[in-house]
Amino acid sequence: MRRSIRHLLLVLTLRCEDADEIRLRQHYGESDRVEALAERLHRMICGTCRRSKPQTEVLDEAMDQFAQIEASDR
Amino acid sequence: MGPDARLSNEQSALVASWFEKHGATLKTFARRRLGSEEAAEDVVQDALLSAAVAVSKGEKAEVERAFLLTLLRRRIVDLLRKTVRTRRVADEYSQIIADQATTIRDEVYAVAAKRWNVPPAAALERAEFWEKFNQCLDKMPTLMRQAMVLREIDRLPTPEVCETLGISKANLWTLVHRARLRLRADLGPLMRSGRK
Repeated sequence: MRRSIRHLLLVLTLRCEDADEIRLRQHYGESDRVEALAERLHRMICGTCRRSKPQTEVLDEAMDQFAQIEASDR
Repeated sequence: MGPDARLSNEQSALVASWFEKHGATLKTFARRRLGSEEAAEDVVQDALLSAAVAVSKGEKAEVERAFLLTLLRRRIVDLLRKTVRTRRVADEYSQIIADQATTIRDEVYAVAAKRWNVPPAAALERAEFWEKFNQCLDKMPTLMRQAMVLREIDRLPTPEVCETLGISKANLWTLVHRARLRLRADLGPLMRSGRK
């Protein structure tokens, strides 16, 4: 019961900054289910986070490509 | 005694040719992870010597540069682990957090509030994008850059990065997250150019 309340509080009180960090950890499979749910619900009601998700995805892609670029002469 | 104790003529020639071909790339790679030109030069030299010894013992280097980079990365991680004991990581971390604390929130909201309208695939093909990306990485505080590069670019597992840098998991993600916010802030103007 206490745990459920803690989870509910996380969902209700998540800040954009924290949601953004959860998205980052999610990319590496290092967020738990409650965090993932909180992030998704937060994104449903937050326009800023909806806009920032594609930015995160661009950076994910950039990180993947950067290792190859570093190894080349570009 | 290191691997450089006695090198045959053949090994020395190999090291010289690698240095000529890949020296600049290897040095940039090492400097980005160590934050110091001198340390980068030393570790590159050390890695090349070990590579020459490894090759002479029969280890195959099919893709030369990839082989050298793998070896160099290993050396860098070893070096960071050694220096973590003498380095004041906690102070470095607090300084980064204190520096960013007042600005980071405004920065991220200002960036996120404006939609990126350049298609990602097109952006990632632009030389300007990578130039900016490199500039931003280079001006990050050393610990922040190390956290980001080791975790996100070198793809070392989280526990290994934490051990190498002497920081907790929570601190690692805070650093990586803030590093990304900086990248987003710096890349933002480039990702909105062309359209209003």
